[in-house]
Amino acid sequence: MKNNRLGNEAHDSTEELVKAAETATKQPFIKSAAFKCVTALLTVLLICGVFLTIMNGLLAVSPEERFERAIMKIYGKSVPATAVAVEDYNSNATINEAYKMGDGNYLVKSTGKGGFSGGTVTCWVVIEVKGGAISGVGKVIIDSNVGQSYINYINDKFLTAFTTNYEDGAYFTPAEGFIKTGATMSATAICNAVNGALDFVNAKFGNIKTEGEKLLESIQKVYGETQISVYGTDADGNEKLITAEDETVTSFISTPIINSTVTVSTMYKVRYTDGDKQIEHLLVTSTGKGGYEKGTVTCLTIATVENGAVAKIYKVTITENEKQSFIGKIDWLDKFSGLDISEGLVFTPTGDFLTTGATMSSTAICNAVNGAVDYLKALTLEGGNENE
Amino acid sequence: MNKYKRITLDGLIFQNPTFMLVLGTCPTLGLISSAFSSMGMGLTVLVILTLSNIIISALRKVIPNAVRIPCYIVVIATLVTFARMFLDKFVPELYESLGGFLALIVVNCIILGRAEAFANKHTVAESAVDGIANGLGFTLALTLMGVICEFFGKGSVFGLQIMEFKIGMLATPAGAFLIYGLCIAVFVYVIDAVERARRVKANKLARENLLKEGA
Repeated sequence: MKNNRLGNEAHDSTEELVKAAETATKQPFIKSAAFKCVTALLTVLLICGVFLTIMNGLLAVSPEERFERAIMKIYGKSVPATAVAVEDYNSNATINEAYKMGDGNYLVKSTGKGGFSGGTVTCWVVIEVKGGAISGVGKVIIDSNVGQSYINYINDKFLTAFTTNYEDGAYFTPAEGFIKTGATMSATAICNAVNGALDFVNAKFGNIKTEGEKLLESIQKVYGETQISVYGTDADGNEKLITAEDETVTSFISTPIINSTVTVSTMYKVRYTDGDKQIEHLLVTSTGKGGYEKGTVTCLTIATVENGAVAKIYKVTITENEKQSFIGKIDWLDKFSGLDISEGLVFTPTGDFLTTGATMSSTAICNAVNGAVDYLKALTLEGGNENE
Repeated sequence: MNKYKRITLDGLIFQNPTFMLVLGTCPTLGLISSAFSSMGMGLTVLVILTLSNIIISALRKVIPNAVRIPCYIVVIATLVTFARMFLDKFVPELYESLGGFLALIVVNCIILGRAEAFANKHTVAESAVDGIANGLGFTLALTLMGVICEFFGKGSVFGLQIMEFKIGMLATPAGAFLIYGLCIAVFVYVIDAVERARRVKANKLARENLLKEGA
């Protein structure tokens, strides 16, 4: 009897289990846990999405508002501005926005490359214009940066230097007072941004200088107040006086001479009178390789000509450099002056021609000057002696 | 002890997210070189933490357990996005100074940690108090370290120049790491000393009670 009852109970519970299993398999998806999870997640997503859409409509900052903020930051008041079309004129900078301001100056948002770890710094740069030509840098403000951990090292004093140290036609480089210890590469990116803005305004709205004018200005800087005449060649290879009106200029080197350590790119002649004496110089531009991070240094080597033959080094100046953060430490360029080129000069970065801490820049300079000296030694001047 | 008082003291001192639990170290190291940025980050986290705790606590019985973490992340990300919009609109200086760290609040351990450990097990009121207390604890810790780092690293406090002498390294994340370690050491030492004194006092009281009962 008891066994029979137990047997019946077992049979009933098995039937219940079977029924439960059948119910579970037949349970509609709408009541399943999976459906509840999906519904909860989608509901939260939907509510959050709607909330953010509404908030975006209420709180979004328009580009006009952002620009107005930048204007307030720069001028301290609202100034009327007209947007102008942008274009890049400098490979080290990207021009993002540009405006002609009510006061006739230009406000340019420029992103300078060459920052730390390949990063960039974006700056607002006020370019002052007078009489259709750039007259100065009004203000520089950092807008944003990419990956510049030490940008906080850049202070107002550094940024104000762009205004106080502006020279017509000159580039700002970290080597000339624009180096910031601890943030060298960020400083480079800022210099590039400002140079990019200057090039943009100059090319687009300023007096676009002819090649002749640029060349004469750069050479005149070396000679100061002395009245000089600069000579290149014409289309037929004949010597030609270069004037500011020349749209293009051709040097005595028609094709750059390239080897593993140096590229000799141009040579011009300079003549001037000192009392009753006629002075002639040869100016060779050469780019020395082997600098820091495979960078280069470009030098202008000036040689004197005596009795129709290349004689001595008159002066060596650095005109450009690439990636040479410590080029500002080089203080021995005057050691080249007066050395006799016919004596088979070969400069190595040792002794007088080495700056500790800028060894690789020293190497690049020596390579540049060696290339120029080799070229000058090999020259046969008209009416002079062959120097080889 | 009143439960709200306990929650508050835990968040502020005994389970301070910065000094005791060492949570949220990314913005801590990145921003404490400036007292203004530190305080701004702390206050932003305070608001987001409080709101996320309230919302998650209110929804704790509605959200299925299996999808609770994705739901929390969605809620927190929404609040962070809202905070970014708000700061960009009304406090642009702070928005700029916080930079990428503002968006990174989404993955701040303190917020998700409090949601998972506290808000989904407690009432809305308790969760709100917990959010405020932890947020305040985080804000005070960050501001304190921000003031120290800015003072020694830049010679200023909240941008106000006080002295010319400065140790530049302390205004960098590496210097912040050093200051952070020292602050943790001091904080833990003080808490430990207080706790020890409290235990000694409690033992003394218990012994006196026993002696009285014996007599």
